[in-house]
Amino acid sequence: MQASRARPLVSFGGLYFGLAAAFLYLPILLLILFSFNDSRTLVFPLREFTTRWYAELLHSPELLRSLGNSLWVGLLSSLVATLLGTMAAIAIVRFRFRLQGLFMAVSTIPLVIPSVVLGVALLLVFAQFGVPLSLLAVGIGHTILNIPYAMLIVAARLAGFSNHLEEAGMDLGLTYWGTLLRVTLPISAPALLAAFLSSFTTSFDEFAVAFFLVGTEATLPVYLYSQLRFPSRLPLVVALTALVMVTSILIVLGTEWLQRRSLSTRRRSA
Amino acid sequence: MSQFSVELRGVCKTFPERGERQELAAVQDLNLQIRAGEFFTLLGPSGCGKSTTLRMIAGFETPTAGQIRIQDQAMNAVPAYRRPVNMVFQDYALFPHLTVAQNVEFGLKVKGVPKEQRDPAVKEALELVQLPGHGDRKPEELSGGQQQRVALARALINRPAVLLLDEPLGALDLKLRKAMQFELKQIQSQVGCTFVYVTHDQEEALKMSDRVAVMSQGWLLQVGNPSSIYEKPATRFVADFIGETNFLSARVLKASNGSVLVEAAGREMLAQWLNGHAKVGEDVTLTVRPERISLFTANGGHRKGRLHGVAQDVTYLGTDTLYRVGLESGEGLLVRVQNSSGVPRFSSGDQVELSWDPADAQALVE
Amino acid sequence: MSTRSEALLARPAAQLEVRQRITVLLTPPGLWLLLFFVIPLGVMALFSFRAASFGAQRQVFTLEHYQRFLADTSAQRLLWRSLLIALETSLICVVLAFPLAYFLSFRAGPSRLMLLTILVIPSWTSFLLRILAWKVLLGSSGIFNSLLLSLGWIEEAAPILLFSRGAVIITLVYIWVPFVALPIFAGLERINRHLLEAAEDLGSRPWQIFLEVILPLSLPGVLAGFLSVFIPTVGEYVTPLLVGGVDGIMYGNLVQDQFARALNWPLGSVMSLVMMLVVLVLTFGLGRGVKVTDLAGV
Repeated sequence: MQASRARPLVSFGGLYFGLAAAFLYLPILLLILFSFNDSRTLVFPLREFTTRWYAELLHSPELLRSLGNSLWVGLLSSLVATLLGTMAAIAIVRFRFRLQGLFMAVSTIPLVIPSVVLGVALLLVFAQFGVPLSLLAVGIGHTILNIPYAMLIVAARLAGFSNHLEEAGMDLGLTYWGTLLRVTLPISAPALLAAFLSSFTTSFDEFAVAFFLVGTEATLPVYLYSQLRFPSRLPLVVALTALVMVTSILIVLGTEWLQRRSLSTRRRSA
Repeated sequence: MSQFSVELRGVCKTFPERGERQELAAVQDLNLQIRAGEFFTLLGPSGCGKSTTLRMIAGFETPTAGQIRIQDQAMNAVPAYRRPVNMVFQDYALFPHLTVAQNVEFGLKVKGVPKEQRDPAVKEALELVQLPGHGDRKPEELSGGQQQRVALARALINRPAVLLLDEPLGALDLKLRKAMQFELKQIQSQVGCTFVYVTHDQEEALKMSDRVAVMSQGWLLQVGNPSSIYEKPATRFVADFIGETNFLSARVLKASNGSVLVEAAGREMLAQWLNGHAKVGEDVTLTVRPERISLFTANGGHRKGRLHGVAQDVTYLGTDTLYRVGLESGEGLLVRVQNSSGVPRFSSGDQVELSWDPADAQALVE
Repeated sequence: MSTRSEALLARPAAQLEVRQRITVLLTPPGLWLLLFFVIPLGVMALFSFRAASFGAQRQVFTLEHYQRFLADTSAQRLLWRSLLIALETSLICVVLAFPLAYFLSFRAGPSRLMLLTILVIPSWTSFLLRILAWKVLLGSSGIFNSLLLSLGWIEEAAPILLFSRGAVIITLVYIWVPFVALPIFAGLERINRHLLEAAEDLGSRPWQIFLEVILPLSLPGVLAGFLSVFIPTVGEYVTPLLVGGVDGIMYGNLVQDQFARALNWPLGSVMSLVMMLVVLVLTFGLGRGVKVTDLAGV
């Protein structure tokens, strides 16, 4: 609006952004700092630099096991949530059916109730019908949390392209289901990936529901929670989450880079 | 075996409407016969049911009543993917995740045609639409006109019995549209298949079609070749929608076979009558095209068969001049006169006389 | 006439096909939601009328737990307090996040998506660890204290903030601020910039443009951001456990207690149902005009 007015070198907004970023990053950077500190307690002054917490990670079978559990639960529950969410999204965007409003309401209500309620309700129903608590139960809970997100992400993508594309598929000889597989899903692929990643990150870090549903096998957050009571284990836990954070940042930046690269090569060939 | 490529018998389509309106009738009791190899246009304003008709032929909508036949086969129960027709969509509907060549070969691939046969077919189809060598591009890298051609190639490569085109040139700018109109005609004569073309542009319809069907509010008003649609409109709507025209209110004095004597603008005059039996005393509308009216300098005295008026607005249009003439009856007429030497020019306020050949005037039921 | 009967036969066939597609698409997600969401809520409602969780008493129908909840003023106080904590947290988040979103959308230029990503990256660290970070920061053996001690600025460590209501709010604000900035940013991005030029053209001063155009148009995004914090915070029980102490305990802890420790599932069911209803009523009361996609942040 005021392009003519000279901008100061550091604007008020930029300064505020910097402060906010510092507020968000400092606690985490401190944790990372302590993950290299040769002391079992997280207090100043810092001691020697060490990587022994990272080395000890490899010798902590329970921790690695819970990490593996979380990866499995995340993977499977996100696959199910993405699949079911996609089916629901196609139905609500491309069709009109009876009780559509009710279906929309039920499938999005998990968004608007505190997740402790979901955890408790699932605990009750599993107890009622004698289903043992397990990672499977946790995974089921996570699908309910993630179906609304997956459905809305895919629905937004479907609404973004004309159903003429699907009609064109059928016009060219594909059956309806063939069109879904060869036209709709490939075009929605970025949304499917986004739905899967969003579900996975939610599941991987989910505690409130998992706490009620884990059996003998813990997920990573549940295991971390149990370790928080033992201060001597803290540096190890901190080291692990530092690793997880760096990995997830690398994955996200990597996908971004891949996307940009494919875009730019396409431009060049044009 | 009938000669018809597409036949619609008593086709109706109503859409269930949520909310206030109960049902929306999109197409009402439509009967049409489209001949093999014909360039047939469905013409009408938006919402007239022309696109719905096209989509019923394609198989994307099911008629509420009536029957659709393609090449003498009943099609109502045949799904879109088994009909011998292909469609060119207004927004092209090119698959964004596939290259141009993959788009074009899509229909063949679905049918299981092997690659050795697909590749030359794709090459040929792209040459037909003048896009050779564009096969490796993505649709998004092409201009609107080029995307249009790809959509055409993608449909034609399947050698459909009928090609359906849903306002295919609607998104192009004027100059490109004119070039594509010409090209589409040429392509049709090369491939020889039936084209069913939907447009709201009457000029386009007249220019390209062998026959035109004019629709309004779900009803078919008139079917005929371009000249009969233009020169012998069956209803006031058709006369008004196709080109420019004048309307005068009139009353039937005498009726005979094919013509009527009416009173209009305070005079008795003859006009064509195409609506069956005319009733004496009935109120009708007289229509005359502006370019069919001649203007003369008024020189006092009343000459038989001429109306008197005053030139009110004069608009110079290059090849023509358009006059708006106020009649003594208070009604106004548009008159289009070709500019050439020897033709008198009038200015606003001049007294003029008008006349036309009774064969160019037509009386229509209100 | 044959035309007509053929058409009548054909029509249900086509409708049948569409119905079949809908059925195939909807049955798996519908069944899944029924089995693992609707029925569990129903079972919870059932449990709330049971005399006891286990044993013979479980068959007895009773309103006892509802009466107990209604008589239990401390539970109600806790619910009220949790709502207040959630309200404060969400409001602080909105106040802190709005300028961020505004800066990103209107001032940051082409780098705004990168800057937005920078704000979100810390959230990829474990939720529990981020809480732990604040426990470390605020605690008596925490970083603030030990830093001050080692610098010789204070003589004795003191848990200035830890184990309090304030600690819960600070920690929750820290966790949620980026997630509030997202829907507000999305809302601001949707504002057609020509509107601002139109307002300027009609004589608005910059602050008038902000107050009369930008702010009203951003409200749905702001409300979505508010609710996306408010809803989960009402039921929060992990943060209070870690940094809340006695003073910072919330309603969620009470619910969790009934299931994890007291094993009074019927009473826990009553409490869960009450919380769910309160949150649903507040959400639908406040959330009119909020797009569910904004709420989900997609």
